[in-house]
Order: sequence, then structure tokens, then C-alpha cells
Amino acid sequence: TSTSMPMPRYSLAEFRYGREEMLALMPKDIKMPNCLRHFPLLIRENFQIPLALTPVTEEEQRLWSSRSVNSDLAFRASGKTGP
Amino acid sequence: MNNIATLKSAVTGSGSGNSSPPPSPPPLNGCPNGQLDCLELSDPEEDEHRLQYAYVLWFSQRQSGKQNNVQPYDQNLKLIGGFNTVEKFWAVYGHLIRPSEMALHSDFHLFKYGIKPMWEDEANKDGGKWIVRLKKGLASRCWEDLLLAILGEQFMVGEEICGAVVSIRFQEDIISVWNKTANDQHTTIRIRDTLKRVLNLPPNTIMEYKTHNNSLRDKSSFRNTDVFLH
Repeated sequence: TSTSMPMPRYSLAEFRYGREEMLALMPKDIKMPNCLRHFPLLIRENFQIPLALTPVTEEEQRLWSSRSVNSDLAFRASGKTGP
Repeated sequence: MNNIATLKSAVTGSGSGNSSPPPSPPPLNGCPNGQLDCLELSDPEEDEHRLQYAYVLWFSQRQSGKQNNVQPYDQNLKLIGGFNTVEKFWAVYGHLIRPSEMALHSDFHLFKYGIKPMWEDEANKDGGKWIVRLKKGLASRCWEDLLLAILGEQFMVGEEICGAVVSIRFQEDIISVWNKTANDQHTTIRIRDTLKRVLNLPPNTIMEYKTHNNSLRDKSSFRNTDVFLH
């Protein structure tokens, strides 16, 4: 029983929520917080259902199944010419 | 509820009978005058689910056509709102436009309360960030997945996460995750691997890391990064 690398000990968070829990805890009646009213260009009056609960569009599917999700600029930064 | 005293007690957990973190009262210097009081960080209601930290959401947009007269970065930063429970997060997030609907050169920044989304901030100065440059059309879902993972404490790196940014740019959208200690390799690797998992990134995805020191040096967020290919 050997360990190759000493792992740092991280303090475990007390309040943890998995993705499904976060989604399940979405309240039924949600009012817009007043602070958002200062940003008319950024807000939606009606609550928007999280994308996690909406189907992936065909376009998204196409992008995810393409050869890479990275932009062309990412390849330029990496020194490679393309995926 | 709209005052600093309430806010402070909300953030430290005092006065709620709840002996929970965040551990120390974060400094209030992160918030521009006149904007702090719009944070709705009241003590969690009994039926609400507390987050490990309080968070603040910021927005920035580069002013166009004024290349010679660029406003200081922090003057472009607008504090949108804050939250300390899962329920309050949904109220803010669900009423905002998606990143893909934002104008070019705009960013959403989600940072722990007390940490300003700036390289110079005390919590960031020794830190760095992971960068994923995405094709247009993917950022909104990635941003949501990332928010859920950060707020839910899924990264498992203690207090290392400072915040996250989504940046809408020409021909690409960029997701970044900022951490405190750039030279802590265990932590940065764990963040990279978790990021890949929570965003469902394919194995060949290029990820880049850049220390804020280097960003300060070359005054750029996304150039001259360390590239990681798999």
C-alpha cells in the first residue's frame, strides 16, 4: 500500500449540494430581486428555467459532437493549427 | 435588510443562531459606493438552503470606440446582486439573460463576497485562472453548470476558489475559474479535472492557465497562457 503523492488536506465544506440537489431546490414561486431592476438590459421579467432542465438544441448537439469544443483562437494559442 | 449591518451579519452567520461559516467577516472594500445596499443578503429564511459562502455577481462591458480613453477596469464593473442561499441564487440567476444573449465584450463575474473580480485583490494577487475558450453557442450551458458546481462546493479544494467569469468575445466565449494560489499544483490540477467533469468537456479540450501576476505584467486576460493539451 503505497501512495505516490501526498495529497493536501482540504477542509470539507459544510454546505454541499450536488447538481441535482441544486436543481431540486429551485423554488416554485420566484420573484425578481429588487437589485436587478437597476439593469434593465440584463434582466428577464419572467423566471427562466435553468438550461439543465431544457433539452439540448440541434445546434448545441452539433457543436458538442464536433471535433472540438474549443474556438479557433484556442488552437492558435496552443500553437496548433486546428483540431 | 438593506443595510450593511444586516449584510455583515448575514455573511458571518451571526444573529441567525446558525454557527456556520463563512469563517470571518469579509472586508467590505470590494463594493463600490452606493451599490452595496442593493445586495439582498438577508439572513436565510428557515426553509432556505444556505450556501457555504455568500457570492456577488458582477457585470462588465468594454466601452466601444474609445480605445484611447479606456476607463479604468473597476469603473466598468457593476455589482448586480448577491446571494447566500440556493433559493436566492435561483432568484437572481433565473431573472438574468443568458451569457449568449450578452453583447460583445461583456462579462459576468461571480465571486465570493469580499473578493473583487480584479487581479490586484488581496485574495487574487497570488492566484491564477483556468481558461476554456469555447466556440460560440456553448457558453450559456457551461456557465450554468459551472455556477452549480461552485455554489454546491463540488470542486473540493477548500477555500481555494475565488470566483468564475464568462466572457463574450469576438468569435469565442471564454469561461474562467480563478483560484487563490497559482503555485499550488495539487489544487490547480484538481480544479482543472473537476472543471472538465462538470462541464462535460471532451478529452481533447484545450485548457489554459494564467497567473494574475502574468496578466498584470502583460495587461491581458487571455494572451500568453500556459496551454494544457490532453
